[in-house]
Amino acid sequence: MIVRLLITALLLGVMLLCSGCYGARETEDIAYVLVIGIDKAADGQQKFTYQIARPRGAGGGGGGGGEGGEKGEGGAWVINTFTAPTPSETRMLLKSTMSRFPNIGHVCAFIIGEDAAREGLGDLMSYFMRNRDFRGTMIMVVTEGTAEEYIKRNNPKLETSVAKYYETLLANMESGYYLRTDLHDFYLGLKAEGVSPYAAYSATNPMSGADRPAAPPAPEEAGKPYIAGDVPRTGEGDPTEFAGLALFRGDRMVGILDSDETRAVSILRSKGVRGYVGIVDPLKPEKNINIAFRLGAKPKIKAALYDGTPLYKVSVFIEAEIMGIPSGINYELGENRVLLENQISQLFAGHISRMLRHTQMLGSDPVGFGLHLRPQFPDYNALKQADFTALYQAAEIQVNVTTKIRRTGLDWQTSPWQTHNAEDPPHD
Amino acid sequence: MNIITKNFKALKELILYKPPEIPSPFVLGEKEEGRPEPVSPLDQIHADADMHASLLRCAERLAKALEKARKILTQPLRTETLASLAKELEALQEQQAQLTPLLQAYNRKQDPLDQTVSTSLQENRLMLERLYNLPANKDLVMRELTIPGTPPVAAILFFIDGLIDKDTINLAVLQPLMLLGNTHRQLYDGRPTTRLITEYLPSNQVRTATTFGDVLDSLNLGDTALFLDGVSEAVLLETKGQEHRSIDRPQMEQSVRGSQSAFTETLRVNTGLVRAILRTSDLTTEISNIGVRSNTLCAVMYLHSLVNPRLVQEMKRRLDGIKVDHVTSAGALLLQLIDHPMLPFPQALTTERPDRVAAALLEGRLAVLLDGSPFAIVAPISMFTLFHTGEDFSFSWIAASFLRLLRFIGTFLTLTLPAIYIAISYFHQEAIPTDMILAIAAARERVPFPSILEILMMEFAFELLREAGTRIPSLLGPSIGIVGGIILGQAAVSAGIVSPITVVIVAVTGLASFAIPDYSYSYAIRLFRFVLEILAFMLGLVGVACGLLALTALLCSVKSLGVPYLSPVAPKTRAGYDIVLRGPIYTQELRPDDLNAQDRRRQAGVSRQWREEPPAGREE
Repeated sequence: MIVRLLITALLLGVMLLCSGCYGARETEDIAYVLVIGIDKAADGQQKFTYQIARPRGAGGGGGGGGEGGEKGEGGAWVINTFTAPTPSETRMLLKSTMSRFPNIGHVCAFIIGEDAAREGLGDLMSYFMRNRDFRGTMIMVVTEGTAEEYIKRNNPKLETSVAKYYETLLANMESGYYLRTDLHDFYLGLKAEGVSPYAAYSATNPMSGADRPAAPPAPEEAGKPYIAGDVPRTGEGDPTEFAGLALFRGDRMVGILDSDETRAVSILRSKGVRGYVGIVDPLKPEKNINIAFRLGAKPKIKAALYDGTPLYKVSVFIEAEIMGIPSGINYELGENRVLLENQISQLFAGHISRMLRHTQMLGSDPVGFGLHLRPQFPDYNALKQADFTALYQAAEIQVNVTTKIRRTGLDWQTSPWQTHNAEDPPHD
Repeated sequence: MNIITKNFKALKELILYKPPEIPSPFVLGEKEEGRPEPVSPLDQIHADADMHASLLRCAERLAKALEKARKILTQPLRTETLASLAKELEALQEQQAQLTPLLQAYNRKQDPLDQTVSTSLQENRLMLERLYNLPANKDLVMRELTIPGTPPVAAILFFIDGLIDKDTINLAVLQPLMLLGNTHRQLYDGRPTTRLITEYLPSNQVRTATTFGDVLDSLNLGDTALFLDGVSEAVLLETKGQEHRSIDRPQMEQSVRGSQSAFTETLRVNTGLVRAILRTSDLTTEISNIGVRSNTLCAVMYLHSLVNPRLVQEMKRRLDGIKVDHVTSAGALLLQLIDHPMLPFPQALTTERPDRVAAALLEGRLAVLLDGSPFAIVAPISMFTLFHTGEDFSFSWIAASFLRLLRFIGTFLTLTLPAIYIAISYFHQEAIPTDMILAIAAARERVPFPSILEILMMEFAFELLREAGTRIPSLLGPSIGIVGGIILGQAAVSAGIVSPITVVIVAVTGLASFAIPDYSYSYAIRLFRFVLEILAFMLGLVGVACGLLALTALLCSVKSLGVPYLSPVAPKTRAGYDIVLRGPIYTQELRPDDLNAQDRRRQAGVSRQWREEPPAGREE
């Protein structure tokens, strides 16, 4: 008995000593990479930018150290850019620049320069997906210009940590003006038949206030669509903004959707869109009406295949709430209400149609219409042989948007303003 | 030359150290192993002398009796004096028979406790003096008296000072024996002890004993022994009157809604407390002695028609099988009784609350109470019993379930929180939110020690505080709390010895450990926590998982008085809602399955039968 116990104890000890501790690292012996930027460099090389957290700056001061301060002295992060043929090289070079071991388990964003994205991301995706260090939840952002410049200029004003900025920003995307894609989604989009990968589009704004809309507004629409970097704004906020969607065909970026088109994708993908929109007053076109809306039900997409041409019927149901009627026309009841509902439906139908025309032209299917088409094939071979891009480009898509005004805000019925004169009779 | 020698000698006298001439100090000599103690020839001589002395004493008595007989016979004959003379002579004859050298030699070889009480008062007195090491021992008090009667009877009372009630002896023993009778009583008519007991002694518990073993047992409990001349029996009178602590509030198991009385050090008070709750003839209290030298009373209590009889047999078997000098407390007795003494996990419940004992007896468990210990041992138990408190049934089932869940969570935190922290901070940095790992890293920037050392240091400090807090005189208690809490925590952080997160982890762990109701269970969990910490440091979460698996396997193998420790979870048995969660009180219909009690049901299927009757005032 004693001998057996002794042997067991020895074996356990040997087991622990042989296997234990080698992977252990103290938390403060590690440099946490938060953002990785990728740009095209000359000679087919790539430029990698690593944004690394400085814990004392980001963590808000250590024990009794009294650093405190908003971001500590010397900033909350360190940025290093390397040019090398493969990402593995740059990690080794990164280790040479610092005492701590770079850990990429906490990378939260993957910023891709537009040039590099248009060149194709396939090689990189292979590295990122296979490497077990990367989180699948790391978000994918395509940026106008270079990722290096973008990372340097992005200085969140509300958050102390850049990781928190990206996580919060892309968790709250109800506006539908940008869409969250993480590494895993992107990879699935690359693999799957019938859907194209996409990435959030971001850029830094010159903050000049210049108005550069991406497209003329629809006739029912009060505002204009924008692409990130072109939003007319001034001020001292973070110059970074997210609007639009980078479209990919295979692993290459082929185009950018503007904010309205991106919202149409969000609606069709049922991404929990809710928000506000200004529409032109149907009875008094010089005035606008403010509407709060949300998706009333998951959009229905019915697919059919006629002689090799797909036909999709899309029905979208929007629930709206009136938030303001400057014209004073009583849109709460009766025919006026139907009029307003139709106006909203037309607006969204227009956006969706414009988005569909644009994506069909580019040959990229961010909504995933092809997924709905798959049951229409007789067998797997037919499915495998089908060219989904061509099918999507040839597809006929009928869009039907229905809107119901569910609530009228805090006013139950519009009363005429007392200042209105006789030539502007209240419409009750 | 002479002067030089003289001076040298004088100088030598002055300078040289001379040890003072005192006897050498006491040193306890070593007992040499293997060599038998030499048998002194004196011992044999003393034994022979004793034997001859008793023979001589017998001869003296015989001579006296003959003298008395001669006197009586010379006087006019009276039947009663003749009868008493006959009795006396009979007693002498009996004594004579006992004193044959052969019998005496046999008796001397025997254990003195097995010897029978002699008819000779003198012999009995000498025997007790020998047994109690008189006159060195001052505890045994001897009171010689003569009981008036025809003829008057010489008697001796023995009792132990400090264990008896003086008033009882004065009023209920000495007074009736010496004063209240009349001289006409004839004790030797018939069996004298029976007459004494039935007619003259008003003491409430009286019995007779024939061996010195019985006499000593009674004397040691506080009884008084009465020896009569010419009677080979001793009368044992109940005169217990030991000083004891009165019933107090529970110290360790305080309750908000439960009863407020706790056991005390006196066995009979404690059994009485339990019986006051369970007033039934079914409640059986079996008393035995534990401890070869201490003769401590030990009671086993159970409900006769309920408990599984094999549990009682097994408990009694184990109690009888304990051969030690002394059992110091219920805790020590528990360690002698349990199945797995190598494990720190308590395998029986130790409680100071009579209501908990009563509740356990009603479930079909046994209670063991030890004289001198204010704790009762309840066995068999399952591990889940240790998470229950006496007042769980005093609250709504929702509140009670919440409290129990809290205790389970507290236990789990105590066991794993530091280990998980160590595992994550060493191996799995990606497993916690980025901001948190950055905060941890920032806090640790100035700390020179590895995390494992930090945690171990703080835990050691915490355990130190805890132990110091227990041992410190109660006047200093609060200041230790302040010193520990404020100085150690705050100063260690600002000195850069530990990081604030470590203080938080250790404080939460410590706080959680206080949520474990059972003290020794909490101890076991805290000990195992260190094992998990080392495993976490070496193998990360895999190590923690392995440790928990090993712990589970270990606990699965444990039995408490033959009942699986983790029942009704492992092995899976039918369980009511009184394990982790506590169901409504009217659903507690069955006793725990694992105890195999004789009667499984403890309340009617519909316990609240008033619900099926019309309400008051509507009986139409």
